[in-house]
Amino acid sequence: MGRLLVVDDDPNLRLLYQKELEAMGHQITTAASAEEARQAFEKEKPELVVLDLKLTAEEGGLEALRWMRDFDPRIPIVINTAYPAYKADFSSWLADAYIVKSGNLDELKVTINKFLTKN
Amino acid sequence: MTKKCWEEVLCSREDCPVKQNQEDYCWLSQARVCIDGQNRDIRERLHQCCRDCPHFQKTLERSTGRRLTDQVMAETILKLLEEMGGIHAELAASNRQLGQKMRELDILNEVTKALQTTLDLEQVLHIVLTGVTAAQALSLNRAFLLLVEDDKKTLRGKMAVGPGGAEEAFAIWNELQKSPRSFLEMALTPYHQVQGNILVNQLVKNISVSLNDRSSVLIQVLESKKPLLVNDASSLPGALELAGWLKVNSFIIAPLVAEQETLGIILADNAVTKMPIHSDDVTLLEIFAGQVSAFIRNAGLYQSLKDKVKELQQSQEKLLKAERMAAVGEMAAVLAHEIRTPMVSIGGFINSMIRERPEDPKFGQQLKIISFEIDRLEGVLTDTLELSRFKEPELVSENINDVVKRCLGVLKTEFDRQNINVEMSLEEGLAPVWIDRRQFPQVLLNILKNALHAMPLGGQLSVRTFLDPRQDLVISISDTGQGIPRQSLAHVFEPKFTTKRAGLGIGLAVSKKIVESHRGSIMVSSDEGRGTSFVIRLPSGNQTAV
Repeated sequence: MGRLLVVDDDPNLRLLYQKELEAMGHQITTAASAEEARQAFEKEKPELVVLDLKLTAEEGGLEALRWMRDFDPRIPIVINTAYPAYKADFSSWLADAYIVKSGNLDELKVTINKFLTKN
Repeated sequence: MTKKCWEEVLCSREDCPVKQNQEDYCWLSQARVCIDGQNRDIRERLHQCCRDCPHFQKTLERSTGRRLTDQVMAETILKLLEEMGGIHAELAASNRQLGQKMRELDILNEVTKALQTTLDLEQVLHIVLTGVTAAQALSLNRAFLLLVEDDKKTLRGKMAVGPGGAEEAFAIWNELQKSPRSFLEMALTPYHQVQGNILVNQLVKNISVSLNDRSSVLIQVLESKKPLLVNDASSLPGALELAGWLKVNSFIIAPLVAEQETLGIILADNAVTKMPIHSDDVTLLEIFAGQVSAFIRNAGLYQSLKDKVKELQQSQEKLLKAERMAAVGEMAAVLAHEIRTPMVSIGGFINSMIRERPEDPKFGQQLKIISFEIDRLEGVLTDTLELSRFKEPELVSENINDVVKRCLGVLKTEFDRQNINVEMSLEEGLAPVWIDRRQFPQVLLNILKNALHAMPLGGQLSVRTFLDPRQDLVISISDTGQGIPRQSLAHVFEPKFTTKRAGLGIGLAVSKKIVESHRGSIMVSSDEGRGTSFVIRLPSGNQTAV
């Protein structure tokens, strides 16, 4: 069980991830933007981050990813995105795992558990 | 009274006109006579026959008397006659030559006229070869044309004109004698209507010589740009092979040269008549070749221009197609991204509900169906995204009948509701096939859904699996629906095409791509108003092919 930070700009998905991951026994903080994510990251010191990457103008997700990696490289970051195309972006290689969003959360859950038990 | 001329020379011909007319002196006769057995007119008669005729001599001596001047006169007349004979012979020869030259000029002129009517390479070659064999000029039995290939590596036989043997030759010449045809008439017959020449064309098409093969007499002529008369091929090592092909020992080879560029060779022989070929013929063929070369070159250039234009059109069509595909791909990608987030939300919460109440007696079953369908929709989105950036299928070994049954099961409620009777005929004992577990069922579902749409008022759906004689696995799906209009049938596998009002219309384009990525093929046939059939073929052992 661990403290997780979930970053996603879609409120319904934030709710979904909070509900489902808490049911697994994790403690969840959510953030809706890169800026919120940065504050929560510094304050909550999460053990793992689930990060949405979005093709918006500022590309906040990749930016946040780089920043978190610089801040503490030991914290695992799982990219959870609707865009398989990001796999081709070198920056996304900084992440520990790359998951394409799905209504079936099994892959996400298994990945989270893998990293938490490893540490 | 002196003896009559014909009495003196004791001409044996009873029908001689001089004899019959009872004329005294045949050299004065206006009739054509045959003192030496040949028909000659008066002018020739005087200097060719009378000069040596004893009767003429005697008459001359008698009439001139004994005076010196008379004798000188007689001798002078004889001398003059002799002189005249020489001049006449020369004149006749020049006349013959002139006639020949006129005919040659004529034919060159005709050939040029004919060549000006066309840019079609085949027709041009045909005109040239007809010129070489035309009775009016060179009158050689057979003519062959060889051209240097575009890659400048090979000299290859292209066309030939001439009889296949003596029998055919005499048949043709007889025919021509009965109903003569002008050169232009023969040369301008469209090439595809030209009959005969079968054997010589088979022969010429087998001739192929590398330009590097300098031992060949053909290449030597090509390089020297000078014509060559081979009188005895058996004594010329470089001509032996060619003589073997042509089955003759004597032939002319003339190069085709236009603006210093060697285009090919004209080859001609007298295979049928075995008449010797003269050096005059060589000169004429050389002139002839020089005349026609430019036309052959132009036709060749025109031909390659035509090919290039065709090529260009084809690649333009491909480009348009690719552009259209790219546009569809882009549109699909945007749409797929927009849809994915809410879908993840729906699916996520449904799964959450299932997790909380896995065996809910009231909604459990329905929730599982929703979850299954969302999962499938996500798969469709992923596949759509991959349309432009298609991924290789991940193959697993599956029993195709199970896959078919599963897909039919998904749509069973729909079929029942629309009164569609499903008839399955699945061959037992088929070997497993290698398919992508997500992509391949998508193909079947696409086709089944099309069938659903085509039969809103019910009908018959037949699904068959079997092995065809080539051991390919065949899946055929036929409906008795409204069918696809004939003019649309060719476009059903293009992106954006749909006969349905709703939908993106990319289902069959994706299906085709998926089947092809399995090394298979998909075909459609349709009878408007009666139904549509899709046939998918997967090659046996398709797993090794991918």
